[in-house]
Amino acid sequence: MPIGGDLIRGNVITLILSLLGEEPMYGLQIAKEIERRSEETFKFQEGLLYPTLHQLENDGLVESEWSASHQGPGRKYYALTRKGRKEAERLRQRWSVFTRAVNQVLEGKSDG
Amino acid sequence: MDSLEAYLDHACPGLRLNPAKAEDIRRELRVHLEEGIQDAIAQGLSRAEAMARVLARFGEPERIRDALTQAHLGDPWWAYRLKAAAVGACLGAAIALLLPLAAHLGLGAALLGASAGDGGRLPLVTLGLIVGGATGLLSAPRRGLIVGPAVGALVWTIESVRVFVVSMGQALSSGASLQAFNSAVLSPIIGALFGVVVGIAVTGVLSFSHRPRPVAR
Repeated sequence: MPIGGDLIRGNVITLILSLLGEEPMYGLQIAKEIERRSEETFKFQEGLLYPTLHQLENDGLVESEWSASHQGPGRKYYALTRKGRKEAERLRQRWSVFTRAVNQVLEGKSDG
Repeated sequence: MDSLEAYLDHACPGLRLNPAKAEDIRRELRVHLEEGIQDAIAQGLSRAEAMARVLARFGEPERIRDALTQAHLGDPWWAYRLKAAAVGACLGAAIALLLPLAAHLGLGAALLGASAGDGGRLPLVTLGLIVGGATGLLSAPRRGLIVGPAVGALVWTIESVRVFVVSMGQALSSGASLQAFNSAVLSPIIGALFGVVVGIAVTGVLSFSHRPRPVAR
């Protein structure tokens, strides 16, 4: 079941920062990885990745660099900054707390 | 290709944005789209079919443009223009200042006649500052790097011509030697050539420093 809209928009920063925590990536690569790993559950307009990436760069969470290429015009790679690594970790923890809480509610569990 | 560029015209932020940044964004989006189109063609689609599929996945261009404009509100066109003005002013003034200085250091004996003792250096630098700054303010990104040094050389050439006219007047009225005449004739030529060489060198260095660097992976 493809999921788009607000649900992915609210979490796209978590996804992007987590992916970039593994290695520097360019825009199309990020889009393909999100789609592949979610088994095509996450569908979104690829062009909207770029405003998000640029905002993250303006906020100092990622940095970008054009790669040299012998065949084509090169690609613009994004990598996490130190601040970005901290933010990625914070968002991961927040997501864990959120999903655990949602699951508990949906499954009718309660500690109290 | 035309419809791809037409799409980019709609998806890329326009005049409100720093022109160098706008160019960078357009290049980044084009690379993404072209690579997607090549992937789809490799799967057996025609270029037209591939482009239609890739553009549909990429999204509504107006929405992308609005989001990009929003993301770059802190990087407006006037900030870039001010920076270009500062660079143009500095280069124009530096060259207007350095040419007479170079003459004093013995880099061209003929230049001495055009720069020494006429009190023209301060107006020269001021003019280079004002005109270099104004052209930087008004010029396009890459042109700004050429215009600044060129203005410095132009200002110096104009000043040299003025000194040449004054020197010729003095030489004719006092019956001066051939050496003084040669000095007056050579001054503007050497000044202009030196200005052009410095201008090309400065522009070359600045262009080189803007080349994309390989990324560490």
